[in-house]
Amino acid sequence: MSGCCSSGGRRRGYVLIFGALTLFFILIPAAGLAVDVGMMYLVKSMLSAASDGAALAGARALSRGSDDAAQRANAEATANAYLAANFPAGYLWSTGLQVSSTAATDSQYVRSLTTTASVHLPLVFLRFFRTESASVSATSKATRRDVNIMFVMDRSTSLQGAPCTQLKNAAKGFIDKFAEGRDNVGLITFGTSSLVDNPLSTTFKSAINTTLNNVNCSGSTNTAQALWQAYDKLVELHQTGALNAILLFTDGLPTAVTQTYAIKSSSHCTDKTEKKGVAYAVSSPANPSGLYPWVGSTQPMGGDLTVLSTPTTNNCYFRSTPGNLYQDVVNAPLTDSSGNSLVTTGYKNAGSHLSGGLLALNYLNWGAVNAADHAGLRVRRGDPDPDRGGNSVSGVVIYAIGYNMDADGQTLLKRIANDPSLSPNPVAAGAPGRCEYAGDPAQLNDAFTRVASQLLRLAL
Amino acid sequence: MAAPHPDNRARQRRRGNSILEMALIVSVSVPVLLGVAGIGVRLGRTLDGLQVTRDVAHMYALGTDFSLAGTQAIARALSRDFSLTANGTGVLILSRVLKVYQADCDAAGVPSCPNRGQPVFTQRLVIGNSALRASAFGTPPAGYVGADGTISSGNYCRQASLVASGFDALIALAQGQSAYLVEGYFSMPEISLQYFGSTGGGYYVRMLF
Repeated sequence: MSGCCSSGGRRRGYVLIFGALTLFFILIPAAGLAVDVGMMYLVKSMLSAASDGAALAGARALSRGSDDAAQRANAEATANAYLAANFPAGYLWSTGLQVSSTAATDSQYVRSLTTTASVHLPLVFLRFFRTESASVSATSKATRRDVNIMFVMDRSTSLQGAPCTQLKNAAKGFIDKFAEGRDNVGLITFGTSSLVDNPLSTTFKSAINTTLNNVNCSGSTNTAQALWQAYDKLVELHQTGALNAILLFTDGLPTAVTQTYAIKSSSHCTDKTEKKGVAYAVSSPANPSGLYPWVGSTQPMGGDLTVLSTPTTNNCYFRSTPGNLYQDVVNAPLTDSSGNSLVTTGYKNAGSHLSGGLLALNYLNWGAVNAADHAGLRVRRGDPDPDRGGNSVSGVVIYAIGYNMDADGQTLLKRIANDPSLSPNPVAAGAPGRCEYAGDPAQLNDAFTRVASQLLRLAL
Repeated sequence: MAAPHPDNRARQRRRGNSILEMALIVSVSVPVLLGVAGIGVRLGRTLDGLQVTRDVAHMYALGTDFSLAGTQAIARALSRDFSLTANGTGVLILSRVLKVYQADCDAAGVPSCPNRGQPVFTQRLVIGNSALRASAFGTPPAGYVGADGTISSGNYCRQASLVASGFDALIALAQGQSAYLVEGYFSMPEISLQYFGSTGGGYYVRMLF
């Protein structure tokens, strides 16, 4: 009997002891571990997100400042401020937030910003195992490529008045958003012809502002020449590690094209050698009104160009009578002076107006449209530039801003920019850009702001 | 009536003791397990809300156009636990905030520049159930917000109602600097734990990029 009772006493309390041991040595530590690790994971996620935002904002701030040192200081301060804004003080009882951000030059055309943050997180359950707190840290890095942007600005007659003033103001705001000392920004304005008013330079803000102040809106619309000239300048700079971009602003379909024209034997021109110049016509079918210098020494600010000077054009019909160019020149060659085809892309069916292997002169403006379309395609493809020994730059992205344009003009700009919203796009090769549209002068600044914002974000 | 055998009495006593002991253990272990499960579920959802807010903010800052239906669908697909639909359980409020400086106003043709030095909304987009929560920094009047969420420079340079109230307390932007703000609110009425930033059964998080 005593054996029985003694055994029962030993068994009494067995479940309680076993359960208590399980509870205190397995269940509660496991639950504690889950809670503490879960909190650490949440804090880590929040800190990681906060540092991610801080690094990206810091990299974006590399655009601000007059030189590299100021830009880096701005970027580091911005990143630290963003991290503090993103990570609430005392988040999940965390303490001792430490933040450091460092801007560095990674390669010739790439700068980066690295943000590291850490906090101490007091532990709830694991402190019973003498682990009072855990250190949680996160590091994020964002890079910013330098931007080389050639701004190609239409300043044709159709912009005269309030749009021209608003355009210049918006353009100044656009230029101001890039980083002096690192980014290369240049300006080409075009009317009947085009001119590199400000070559690509890292010291651009004051110079371009001065140019813009002096712009007079006058002339026709020679888009193809201006676009190719912009590409030529990017090829000349040849910074393949940077973000190379062109911003094209225009308010209408191209109407002018630069070519070398053969002179008819029946022409009254005294000198019958072929002549390089710009012909324009504003509608089809219409005969071009004259032949203008392809790049004028007074271009572009003093007003529109005058027809090619004597003596090379002495007695030519087009000098005396507008619309008489057809009496002097054989029809238009199928490529312009920059190698852009007047028929290949076929946006306008100029190919159905050929005569003797040349484009009928009264459909020249269709050819001008196609030449601009082809120039955009060649730029995006990174075609060899004959004027730079066949060198090229790949990955050039084209942004376009259209002002007060009809659907035809907007479609052309979408083709030139390779805007993804145009589908199908028969000329979709190369990097996709974007086309913005402003319906009135007040919207111009918004369009420029959107493009600057997209370009700067594309550089990240 | 014969008395119960002493062995049977002892067995009954032991059985009663075991039930009592088990009850004691269960009374402690079950709340612990339920608590851990509740915290786990809450933690998972909190992480999901944080992650989708972070991802959308990152994409927004890098130029993704969330005014398009396709990109909004991507945002919805990013969330595993919440429905970012008009009647769903989550909402994302996307704002682009700009500290206006004189050059902005000059470019916008508003030289008087009433909002100079103020943080203003230049874009506002909402993905999800907008009735769940409004932005902590104010809501731009609908009349100023275009179909793609943008607000014209002529308006944000001029209109006091487009100033992001309280934004300066969050971060002091430099003149002309933009910030990309995404606020997320995720409803979790069945699990409310204040410790995880819960307000009224939901989780609010903001990400500034």
